[in-house]
Amino acid sequence: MTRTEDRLTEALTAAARAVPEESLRPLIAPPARRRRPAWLAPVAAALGIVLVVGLALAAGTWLSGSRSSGGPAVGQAPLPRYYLVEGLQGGAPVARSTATGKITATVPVPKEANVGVDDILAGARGGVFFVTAAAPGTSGERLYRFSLTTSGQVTGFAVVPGGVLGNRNWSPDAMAASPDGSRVAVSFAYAYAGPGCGSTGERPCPAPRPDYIDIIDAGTGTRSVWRGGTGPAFSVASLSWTADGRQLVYLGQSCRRLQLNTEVCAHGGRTAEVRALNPAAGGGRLDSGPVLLRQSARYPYIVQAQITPDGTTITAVVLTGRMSSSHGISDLVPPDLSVIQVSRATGQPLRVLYQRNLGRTTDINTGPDFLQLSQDGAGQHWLLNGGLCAGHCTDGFNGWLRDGQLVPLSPVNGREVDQAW
Amino acid sequence: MSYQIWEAGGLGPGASPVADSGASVSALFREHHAELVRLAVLMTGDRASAEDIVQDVFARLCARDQLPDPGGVLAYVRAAVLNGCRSALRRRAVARRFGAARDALAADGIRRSAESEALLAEDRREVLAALDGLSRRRREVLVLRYWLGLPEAEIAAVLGISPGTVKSTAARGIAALARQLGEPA
Repeated sequence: MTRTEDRLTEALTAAARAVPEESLRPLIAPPARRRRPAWLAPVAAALGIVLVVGLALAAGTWLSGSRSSGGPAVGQAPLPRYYLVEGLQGGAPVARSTATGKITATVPVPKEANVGVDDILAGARGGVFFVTAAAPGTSGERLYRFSLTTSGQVTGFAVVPGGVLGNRNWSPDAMAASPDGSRVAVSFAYAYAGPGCGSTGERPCPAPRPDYIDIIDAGTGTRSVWRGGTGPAFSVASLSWTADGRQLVYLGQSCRRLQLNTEVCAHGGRTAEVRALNPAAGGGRLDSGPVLLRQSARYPYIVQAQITPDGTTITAVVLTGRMSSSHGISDLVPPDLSVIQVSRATGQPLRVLYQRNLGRTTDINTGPDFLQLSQDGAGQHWLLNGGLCAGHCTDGFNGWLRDGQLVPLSPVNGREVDQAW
Repeated sequence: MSYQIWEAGGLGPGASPVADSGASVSALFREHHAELVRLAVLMTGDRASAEDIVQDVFARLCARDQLPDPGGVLAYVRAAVLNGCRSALRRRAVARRFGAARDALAADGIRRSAESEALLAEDRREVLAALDGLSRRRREVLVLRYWLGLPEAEIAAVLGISPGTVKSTAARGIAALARQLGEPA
């Protein structure tokens, strides 16, 4: 061994020794799952289909009488039979049955691409999907396109031209495909990945940088770039397209006041607004398009926002309610979650699709993607993922919205996973 | 919903095998719990995150009907823990930029927590700081090689790369470390 190897071994051993075995938290095993008889799965699936069809018919009947509210038709498009979900623990993304949760296919991203990269997914109409995955041999990622067959199998998996996306400091963070699948919008988030910084004796860390959006032509790979978000903490939380592909709508969140000596947004300093861009302009400033919805007393904390394909309505995840504080520790976000639909024209709420209380939010993992809403190509069905992951990640949730309820989907504990249908 | 507590020294009262795989998962974690947490601490610098990552991997494995083949299950678990570390580091980096107040505040203070707990000598701190400056893959290879003492084939299995890549990555990592420490490679 060289002196360097000796020193490394010694330092690692000493650092590991600082974690005594007897001081470790006990592990918690999940509750035992009951084994189901083999005949139960097909019967349950059949019952599920009957139930879904029945509810769809009922919802259609009910909604045909309430459409005068000005919102889009809800529940008329068939429920997508499959959804795509990012692989957990470095696995490849998989297609799962919406009815049973069963995995029907694994998306064949290159094996090396599974290592350490969160794959981002987006769906278009006709069972077309896009996924970003690490580009082997580079520090960036590549965009792939594929389709799901009617039996949930992956077909036509191919790389989208245009080269590598991002690099070690810039990673794809949100993505949406135009409904016809001809273009893909990808937002990039900056996360410094260089040598150590910020600690005693080290140089200061580079300042954070605002997100930007690339719109990529899925046929040619040509890109148009949109920059100019407000402030260094500007972040794109969600993206969506109108059906005609003439508007790309994004939710941008920013911070007008940082906590002293930190890069953390101070309490009450967060702002958020939903804007529309004209993709035909070929790039430009992110603040060049009109504001469709803005954080306000009525919508105090907008987490996600998507435009319906007809462009008339915004479906948003909004947090409201009073943040509690005890023992000097304040909640991080308001506790009452609502998925609502808002008129683009008037800004008035049209209907509530789902509500839930998050409980104390003192310790939740409020990364930028801790709540994610994904709509289907028809803009009539929504996946809602709550990757809250407090404590031991048992209080997250994941499912699709049906009649004010969250129908659980795997992974049921939420996690911060990307998914699409 | 009730949860069973699995003590570090054995299954807690009332615990039962979770599935066919549950008993072997429990045995695996009984034997390697501390090692896995330490591995995660060395990669993330943060003990609380390290324990969460290992807990998470444990819970997921319990929920599976089948485990990977017995011969490769430890490599699988180590890989899962490393993947958890990567996700945690990425989330932390993004969170520091915006929004995740608790994570970000914590991240600023914990990066060196393992070192301070150990009251490491300046010399060891310098080595660990240099290790932190390496690319993720080099860091992973060096930790698996020089802390766990794994042979190249096992490191390759854990990281999903070829033994040749392990060898070249380790050599480059040591050379880079030596450069940073001002030593001959």
